[in-house]
Formats: sequence, structure tokens, C-alpha cells
Amino acid sequence: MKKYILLCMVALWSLTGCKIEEGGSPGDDRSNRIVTNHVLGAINHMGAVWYGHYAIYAEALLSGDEALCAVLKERWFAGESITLEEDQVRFVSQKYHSCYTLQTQGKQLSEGATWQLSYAGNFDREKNLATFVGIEGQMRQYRHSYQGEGDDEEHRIDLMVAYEVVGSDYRVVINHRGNGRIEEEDGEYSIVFAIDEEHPLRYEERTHWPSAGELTISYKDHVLGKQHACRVRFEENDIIYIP
Amino acid sequence: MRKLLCVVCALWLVGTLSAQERRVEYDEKNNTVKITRIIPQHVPKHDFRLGVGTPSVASIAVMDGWGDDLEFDLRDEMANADTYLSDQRFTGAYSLSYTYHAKRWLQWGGTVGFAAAVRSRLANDTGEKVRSANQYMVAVMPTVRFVYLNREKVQLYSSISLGALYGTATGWMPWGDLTLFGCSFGRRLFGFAELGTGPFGWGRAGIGYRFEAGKK
Repeated sequence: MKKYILLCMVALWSLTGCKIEEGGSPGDDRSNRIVTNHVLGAINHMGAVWYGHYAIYAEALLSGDEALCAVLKERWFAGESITLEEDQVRFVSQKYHSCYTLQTQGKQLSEGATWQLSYAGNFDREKNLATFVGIEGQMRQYRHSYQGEGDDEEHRIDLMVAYEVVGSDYRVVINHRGNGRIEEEDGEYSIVFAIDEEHPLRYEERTHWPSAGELTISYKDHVLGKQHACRVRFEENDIIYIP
Repeated sequence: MRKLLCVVCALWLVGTLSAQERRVEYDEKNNTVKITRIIPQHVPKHDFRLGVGTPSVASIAVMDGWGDDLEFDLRDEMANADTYLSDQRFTGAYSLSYTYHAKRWLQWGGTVGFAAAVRSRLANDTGEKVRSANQYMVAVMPTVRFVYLNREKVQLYSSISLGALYGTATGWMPWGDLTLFGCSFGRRLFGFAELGTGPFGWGRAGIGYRFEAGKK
């Protein structure tokens, strides 16, 4: 009887010491990829590309570029109702029950206007999604700044946006220059980044990943006292990390 | 399910009958047989058990978290960027319990348990251990055991435990454990095997020692 008990114990003990999760395998240092993704995420979170489309369309509308408006409405705002009022442009989507309003004060960005983008939906309302500051005399160029909180961080990002309309199909390419700072709310880490003046981040249409450009990123862990810096170059379908 | 219930009932029936003494008297006058069941007097006992169990959903969840590993933490990711994790192994769910045999069918007491999932962080370039990434669980629970077959050398039972569970991912939280079917075999020194659900594992086995209250 005792041998039987012992046998059961040994058998079960061997079963209990089992592998419950497969481990990883050696690879490259992931630091560059992690900070790069985090910075691009912050730029996307501020709507640098997405919100910029509202400004680009409204500028075309106010400047009377009907051909460009027609193409952009079909491509970016299909099914939405867009109305031009004296001091604002309203984008209403019945499908998504949302309304984006761009306060233009009746002036174009190229006339030095400052625009405010706000949002109202079924359960949500947010003012000042984005602020676009036009530069008098400069066509297709504006400043897009953002300061806000999200995901236990504070973001301060300042971009100069220049866009081009390319080809007979009116493709829009957006270029970002500028810099930003991300700080964890308890001060545990901070990230500072700057876009190369000579190599702006280039976004084709509605992608969230640049097809060209260079970015310098510096990360600091204030608790562990560790730092990490890298330079990132984006190329078509490729990304190169320069130590 | 039905067949299992029948087997359990049959075992219980046989057990209850054979566990009891019977006095048979023949009444010649009336030509009848009288069977009197004598239930032995219950002697309270102390019961100590040491067991080991398999991993369970509950134990893995409180150690690993309810999908918490899916949440992105930039500081953690950056600190671990030049490392990788080894395989994670379960140590076994060890439990120590004490129960008091208050009645033939009822025992009560308490159980404490411990389990760990061990793994290491290894450096990408050298494969050497950088630090441990172990997780563990501690359970403290009062236990009530219901014995539906109580023979001298064999007991069949179920039990329920309700108490607190601590896991590295969840902290302290109320939790319970259920032994759906348990069997012990032996008189003083005994072995046991159980099927259950909860932090002590879906399968458990171990050894125990029981002695009469007031004696050793």
C-alpha cells in the first residue's frame, strides 16, 4: 500500500512540474523599435495625418479649388455631408453619428488664420481636437501643435505641416517637420524627438507609417537612470536604425 | 454522467452497508429474521495532509494575470529590450491541510497552499541569466469535507474551501477551491487522490496522517 501511495505521488509530482509557457529566443535589441513605435503612436494620436485632412479639404474649399474638393470628398469624406458656413466648415457623418467642426473665421490658412477643430458625437464631445495655425503668404503649409494627456503620459508636439497635391489623381502627400516631448505622468521616463529638417516625415494619403524621413529619438528612464538614443530613417517599406 | 452517478451511489450503498455491523436475530415463533444495523460510535480524529497538485486555470490566472501581459508598459519593455524569457515551468501546487473529524460524514479545518511559475530573463547576446521572472501564489482557506463513504481503510468525499488567494499579478482576492471527488486509502498513514477545481489543481494527490483526538 505504501509503495502504491509513493508511486502515485511520484507520478503526480512529475506531472506538476510541467512547462506552462514557451519561452522566447535570442534576438536583437528591441529598444530602437520600441521607442520609434511609441513616438509614431504619439504623432498619430494627435491626429497629425488624420485631422490634417480636415484642414486640407477646408483650405481647398475656401480657396475655391472645386476639382481638388471633389476628389478629396470622394476619397476622404464619402457619404458625409460638408457645409461651408460663414465662419466654419462642418463635416457631418450620418453613418458614424459624428460631427467635426472646423472654426475658420472665414479666412484661409494662407491668409494667416488660426483654425480650431472640434468633435461632437452621440456620447462624446471634445473641443480643440487640433489647432492649425496658418502662415500668411504660405500656400499648403500650416503649424499643428498639440498638448494633451493620454495613456498616463503628457504629450507636447509641435509640427510644421506642408502638403503637396501630386499627379492627375490629386494624391495628397503630407510632410511633417518639428519636434516633441513625451513625459510619463509620474516622471518615470521621458522621450524627446526631433524630425530632421532636410528629411521630413512623409505620409502618403491615409497611412500612419511614414514612407520617408528621418527622426532622432532620445529616451530616458529617470528611475533606473538609463538612456537610449537612436536615429531612424524611413524608406519605402523599410526602416533603418542608426545608432 | 448518469453512469457515473450510479457508480457513486452504488459505492456509497455498499460502503454504508458493509461499514456497519449487523446483528441478525431469528424469531422462530413468527418465522422472521430481524436484522439490526449497528452503527459504530464515531471517534473524533485529527487529520493532517500534505499534497501536490497540477496547474489550474485559477493558479495560472492569479500568477500571470487576466491577460495583463497584453498591456503595454513602455518602461518595462525598454528595460527588457535586450533580453528574452526562458520557458516557464510550474513547480506544482503544494498544500498542507488540517481537518477535524467532527462526525462520520463531516470534517472541517483549513488548508494553505503555495505554487510558483518559474522562469528567467536571459541576455540576448550571452544567454546568461539577467534576473528572475518568477511568479507565485499563496492560498489560505478554511475547508469543509463531506464524507459519503466512511470505511476503516477507505473514504470517499468531496470538499469545499473558501478563503483568500494571493497572486503576483492580482494581489489578495477572495477565492475558493472545490474537490469534486476525493479518495483516501489507509488507516493511520494514508494516501489520497482528488479531482477538483481551484488553485490547488485539477488533480491532487498526497499523503496524510490521522489519529484519534486525545491520542497520538
